[in-house]
Amino acid sequence: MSPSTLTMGTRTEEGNKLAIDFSVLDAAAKPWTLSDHLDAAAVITFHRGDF
Amino acid sequence: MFGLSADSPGQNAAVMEKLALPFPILSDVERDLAITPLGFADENDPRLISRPGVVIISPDGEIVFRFVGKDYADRPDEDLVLEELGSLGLDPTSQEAAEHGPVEPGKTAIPGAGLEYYLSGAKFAALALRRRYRDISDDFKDGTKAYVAMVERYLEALKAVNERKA
Repeated sequence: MSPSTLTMGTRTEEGNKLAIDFSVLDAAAKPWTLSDHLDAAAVITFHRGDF
Repeated sequence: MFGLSADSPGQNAAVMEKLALPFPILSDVERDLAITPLGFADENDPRLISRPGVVIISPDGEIVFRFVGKDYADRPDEDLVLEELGSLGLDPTSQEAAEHGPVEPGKTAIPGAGLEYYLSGAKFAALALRRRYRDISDDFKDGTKAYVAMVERYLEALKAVNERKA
C-alpha cells in the first residue's frame, strides 16, 4: 500500500472510456453544465461539504 | 478545476470565500445529478454527503481517471492527480476567476481561523492511535501514516490559503 494514499485511483483503459455530462448549480445558484466547460480537461473534486 | 458537493450554493460560496479558492464549487444537493450517478454517494453515511474523490474528464467528455474514497477521511493524493493529468499530454491552460453568490455558511462549518487547530488535532489524534495500536496490522499502520501525511499536506496548503488572503 502506498504510504501517501489509502486508495489508489483508476486510470480508464482504452476502449472502456465512458462519456458523461451532467448539469448542477454553481455557487451563484446558476445552472452549470459540464459540456459547456470542456475547452480543456476538467478535474472535478468531490467534497464531503460544509467544511 | 471544479469542486462538487451536496451543499447548497450558499454553503459552497462560503467555502470558496473561506479558502480563497481560485475555482468554483458546484452544488448537487439531492446527489442525483452527479454524485450518485458517478458513484460518489456513501450509502453508509447518514449525513447524505459525497465520498471524497476526483474524476479527470478529457476534452471529449470521457472519464479518464477516477478516485473514489472509501470514506470521508480517504482522499486522493494531489501528486497522483497531477501525474494523471499530465499523462494526457494536453497544453497548459488557465481558468477564469471563480465567482459566487451570497455566502451562507452551514451551522457546523468550521470558521477559517479554526482550521489549523482542527487539522492539528486530527493529526495528533491519528498519531496517538497509531502508536497505541501499532501492533494491530500493517493496514492500520499504513492507513494512519497516510492520514497523517494527508493532514500535513493540508496544513501546508492552509499556509498558502492564508497567504492568498493576506
